[in-house]
Amino acid sequence: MWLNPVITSGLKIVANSYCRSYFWTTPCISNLLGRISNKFNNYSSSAISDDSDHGQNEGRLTRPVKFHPELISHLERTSLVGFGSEEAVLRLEEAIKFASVLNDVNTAGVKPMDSVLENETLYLREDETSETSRKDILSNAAITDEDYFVAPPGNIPLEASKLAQDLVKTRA
Amino acid sequence: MRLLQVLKQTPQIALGQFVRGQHYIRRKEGWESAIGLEVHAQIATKSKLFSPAPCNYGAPVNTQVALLDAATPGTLPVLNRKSVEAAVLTGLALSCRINPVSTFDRKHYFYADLPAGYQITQQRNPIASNGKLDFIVYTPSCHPAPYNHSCNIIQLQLEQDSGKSLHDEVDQRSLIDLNRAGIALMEIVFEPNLRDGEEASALIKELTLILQRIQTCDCKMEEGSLRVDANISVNRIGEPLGVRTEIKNLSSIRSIVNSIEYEVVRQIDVLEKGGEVINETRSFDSSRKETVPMRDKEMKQDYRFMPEPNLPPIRLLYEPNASSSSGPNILHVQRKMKELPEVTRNRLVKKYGIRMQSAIVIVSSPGLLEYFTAVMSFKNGESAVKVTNVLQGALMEILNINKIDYSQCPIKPKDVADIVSFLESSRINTAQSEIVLKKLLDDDARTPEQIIKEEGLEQISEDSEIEKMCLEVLKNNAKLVEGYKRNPSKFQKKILGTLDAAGKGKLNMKKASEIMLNLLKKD
Repeated sequence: MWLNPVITSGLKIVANSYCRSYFWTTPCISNLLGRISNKFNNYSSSAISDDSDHGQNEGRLTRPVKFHPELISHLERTSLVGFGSEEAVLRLEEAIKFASVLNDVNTAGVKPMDSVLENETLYLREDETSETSRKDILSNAAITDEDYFVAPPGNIPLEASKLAQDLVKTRA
Repeated sequence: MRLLQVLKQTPQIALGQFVRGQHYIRRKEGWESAIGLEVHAQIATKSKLFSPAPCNYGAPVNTQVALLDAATPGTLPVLNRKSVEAAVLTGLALSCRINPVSTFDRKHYFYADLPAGYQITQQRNPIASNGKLDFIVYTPSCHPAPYNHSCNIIQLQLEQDSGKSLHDEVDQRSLIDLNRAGIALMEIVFEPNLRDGEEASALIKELTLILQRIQTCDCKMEEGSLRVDANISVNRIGEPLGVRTEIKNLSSIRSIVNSIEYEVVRQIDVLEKGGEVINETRSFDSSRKETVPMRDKEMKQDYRFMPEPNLPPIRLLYEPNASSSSGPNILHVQRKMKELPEVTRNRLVKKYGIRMQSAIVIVSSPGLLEYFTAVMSFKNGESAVKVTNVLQGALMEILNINKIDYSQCPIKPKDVADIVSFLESSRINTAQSEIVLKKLLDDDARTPEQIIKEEGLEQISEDSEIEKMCLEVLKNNAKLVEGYKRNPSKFQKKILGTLDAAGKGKLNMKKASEIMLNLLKKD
């Protein structure tokens, strides 16, 4: 169920004014949004064929987002989640378009945030060993053989996504 | 904030002994190869990187696995301080810039020996970056002389190891042992500055020497403490780098050299026939000496790197007066630095006047440096060349036959020094010195002096004695004398050989040859 862009921008204005008066200042929330969106910049898969410049100049995507069938197979393979139907693909595409509003935020010169703990220092422990229990480690495994875990052989390539194959006709 | 860079002592290498940039392995006309290595060195700590499980080699299956290593829900990683210090020390030894703030990332891929489905590594902000490793390339069978080369280091990062899987083809399953899962590794990523397999092996040997010196890694490739992946590409001279293939898990120096050479030839072959090199992962079949594609890694991986949310950044101090209880201090770590092999080699050449080839052997043979220094102390630092001749000649051969190295050599350094003195004063000759060495190796409790006296191993150097022997040999070998008159060069060796045999190896052959040749001329 995608939300009407008018409503979303309306929501944004409301949110801003609400927040301004009660909790955060607008620059702060823009900062936060900017940091979140830049996270996509560092790690986004270049397979999204929408040639968005990710907020450097343009801002939100106005064209519809359309996944290439290859991207659909890729997403299914790496997440091990099947889309199930074309409707699900459409829904994800709309969600991305909806989220692209984050690109409106000017994040020039703002360092991306990794987590709320990023200003802490990592605690280091001394190099001491402690007891391990093989019995405990193996206890959750359904099948073991002579104290080894048993797994299926190697990485069997997944069968090509059926959905992606169907969509080749309509999309690519 | 300017980042730390430790200045390595620049070695004073004697000019004229090296041919800079010379490269001896010939490629097919017009082609050149570029090789970049990724080295995974297991840090020598007692416990693993993020869990307190022990990491001993050869322990029974799945007995060194903490709950975190098995990716049990509810566990969190806690970083081992000693691994951070080891990584910093290694970075300093490799002239890297140590980053005061470094972060961890997750690298996601599915494989049975990676229970969590991701590996914690440092991809964006590693602990050290931008280093350089200078090394000497010299394989006596390939290169006429040693030459210098260097390789830039892109980064050095801390990461977790994955478990081990045994593939059971018969029953179509994999057996997983998680003892190695979570062990601390330093991944050192080199730029593709190498040009052939011999340079790669020289780099690895130098890296091994350095890491063993500073004691951050025991570098036992047979035990899996050091693993090398090679990225290889070829291109026509003048063109940019070609498509690369990766050869994973090379676990011996020989396999590094052979796999690189095979792969370069294969790629040149493919390209010359008009084909394309596919960017893939291959492994090396050491029995057939070929690289083969790895079936498991056929798909191009999308690692979906993301910052590790459970681990805040590592912050390193750079304060001379900080106590050791506060965070890891780069200056404290620097105090643990030892003399690096390059500095040692140059020191040996300068102090003792030996050739660089000898210095290379002394530094790279286990135990030889200490042994050599001990012998030289008895010789007051003189006649180093003679000492190296003895150590690298007869003694090395004997030790090799008995499969021991210099650290286990039972011969006392003082005895070797005495033998060298006798050789110098011409009291004994080389053959006799070998006899003495063999006896000493067999736990002979006497000193060389005693052995020589008691076994009558002294060299015959008196002119009159020698002349007597020569005349006798000439008398008994009329045929050889005849032959000499006709063809002197051919028979000279034979006559001298007969003389040596007649003297039962006791003659001072230098003097004896002179005298013999004079006699022959007279005749």
